[in-house]
Amino acid sequence: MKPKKKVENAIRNKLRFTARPTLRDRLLTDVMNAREESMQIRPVPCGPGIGRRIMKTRIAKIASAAAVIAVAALALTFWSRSSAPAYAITDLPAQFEQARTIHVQGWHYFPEHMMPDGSAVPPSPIDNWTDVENARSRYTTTQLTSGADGVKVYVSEVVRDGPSWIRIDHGDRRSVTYFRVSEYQQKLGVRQISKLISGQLFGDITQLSNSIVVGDERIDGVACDIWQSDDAHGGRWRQWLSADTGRLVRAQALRKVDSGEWKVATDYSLIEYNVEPPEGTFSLEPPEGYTASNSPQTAYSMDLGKNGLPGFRDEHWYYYCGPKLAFALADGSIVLGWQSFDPMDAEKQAVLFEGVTFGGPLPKLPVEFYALIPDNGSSEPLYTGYHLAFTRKQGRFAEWSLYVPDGTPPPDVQATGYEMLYRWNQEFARNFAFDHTTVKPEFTIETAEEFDEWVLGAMAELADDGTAPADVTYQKVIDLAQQVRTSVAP
Amino acid sequence: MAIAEDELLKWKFRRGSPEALARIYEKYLDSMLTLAMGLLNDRAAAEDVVHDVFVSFARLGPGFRLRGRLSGYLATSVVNRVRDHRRRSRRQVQASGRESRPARESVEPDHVASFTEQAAQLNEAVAQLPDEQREVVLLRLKADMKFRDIAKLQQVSINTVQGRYRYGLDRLRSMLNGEVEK
Repeated sequence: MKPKKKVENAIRNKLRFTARPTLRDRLLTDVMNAREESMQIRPVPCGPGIGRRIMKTRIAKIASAAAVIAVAALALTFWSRSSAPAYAITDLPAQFEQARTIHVQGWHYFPEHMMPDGSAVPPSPIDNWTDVENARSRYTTTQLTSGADGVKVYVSEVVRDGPSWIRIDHGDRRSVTYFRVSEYQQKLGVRQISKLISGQLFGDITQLSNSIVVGDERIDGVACDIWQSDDAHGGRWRQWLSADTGRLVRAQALRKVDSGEWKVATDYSLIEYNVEPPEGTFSLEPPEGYTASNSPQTAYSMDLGKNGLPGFRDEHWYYYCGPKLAFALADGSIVLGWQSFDPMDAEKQAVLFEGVTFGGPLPKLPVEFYALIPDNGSSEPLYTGYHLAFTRKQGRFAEWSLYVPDGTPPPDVQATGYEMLYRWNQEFARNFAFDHTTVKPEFTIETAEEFDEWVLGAMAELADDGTAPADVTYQKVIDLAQQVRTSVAP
Repeated sequence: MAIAEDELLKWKFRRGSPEALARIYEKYLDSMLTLAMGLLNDRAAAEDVVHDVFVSFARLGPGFRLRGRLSGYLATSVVNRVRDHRRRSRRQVQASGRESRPARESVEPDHVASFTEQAAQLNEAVAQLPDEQREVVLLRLKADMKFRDIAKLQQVSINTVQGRYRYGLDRLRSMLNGEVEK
């Protein structure tokens, strides 16, 4: 054999590395998590409102608001009957927050797509159940692909009940996949599902407050006002609200097609509260004719919070850092759990947490997220970080910090999130090239009970012993925020 | 057979099949790790690259459309990530004014990969090649990519790629100095 050929064969056959089982499993978990996150997000393009973004610039907001106010004034004058409804449109989100169960049925339409033969794409059904009381849900997701082989619609369902949830794929290959989450994650997921459903039905609160009444209609004997609003991204929203009670009876999302016509893209024709779900709605058994790709015992675990953290390594450190989970507090400050750990040698990092105190400076981790700023193009206000506590789970430390703004937070910051400002405390950490990192609070904590449930609950999730640090309480955190505000006030 | 299986996997993956994704991962993890290791000679960095490649791939889901070969697609993704990594490393070295560090072995107890002594020796030799030659040799021999596709990736002519391959093998032959005979 020629020498060149031998080199080729050696490279081809003998240069081979094999991932060890620990790496293999860890990567597989990340890969499957990434897939699942992507599948949860993917239905978004089908519902015109879900992918909306808040207007970015102040000028756009002012101009848009002025236009809406002008139109609203005209409309309210014209439709005098609706000028003083017996309810407030902005109370609508509370209907979902207070419900025991929420049931939404309807159809997705695809007005912007055609089948290869020129016919309309068949609509896809929506049938979503949220059992808020028992932390269970079942919701439909729809994916549409458009390629050379035509348009295809894929419908699947995700059922969540307790620590387990399954994905039922209704495609050609009827299959079920099991996943496993903690009770906390499940509760958080359901809460976010409610938020998602709310977003699908009527957008956010800003959207609602821009609505005007454009007509009335009787649905199943109920006299309804029809409210309408246009968003900044080409979408139009309509809600049918009972004229007497303000109850949401129907909702639609519309899109303007190439011809200039507004077409219904999603029609939520049935919206029910507090009705009993049919038996089997939240069953985790594969439906008849479906095969299970894994089992509850081999379910894929879902980690809490944001994963896929950026990292780097050098001779001394094997390092990952980034946000895990954030909550806004009612006073505008932010509680953020972030990680900055060395999975190969936790004790190396443990020393950096020695001596840190509640309300004191953040631990001098090699990369320190010392402040936040709104990620909306503005650099104000600056949210400075203070240490609250740290937790440790399986050698991974999580730092829990309170970020207090030095001014009034902008109203859209909940939607746009916060950019995490960082600095290097050790020279070697300069090797870490950081992308723009943002975090969005899950929601706003209003009470001590919510704080205990969500913030302390998250801390407990990321602690080996499953308990939150004892010295962190809602009152202490609020007092700390107040103290900081007082000290920085001009 | 492998290509037929890949076509099926692509089809299933596009339809959201987790089993297809898991199979693709199992099938190509080691070869992509080998490729990344060969290109970087740094196990931790190779792990990061392969992690990012598969995680990004998993996120494609139903939006995934590929006419070519799956192995070629993944290998190209690895190469692109490796190039990003190199660029970043160069910037960091320039910014800090440090000397470039020699390739190092992982120190963590949870080793990324297991390999034979001969594989390590081959990898060290491959690591001595210039980046362009190393890419060509590894893409050709470890990812079975055609010279034509490598040329597209490197944005050079096919003759240049074949030249790099030839020079690369010559250098390897002299560096290995008969070791491959064993």
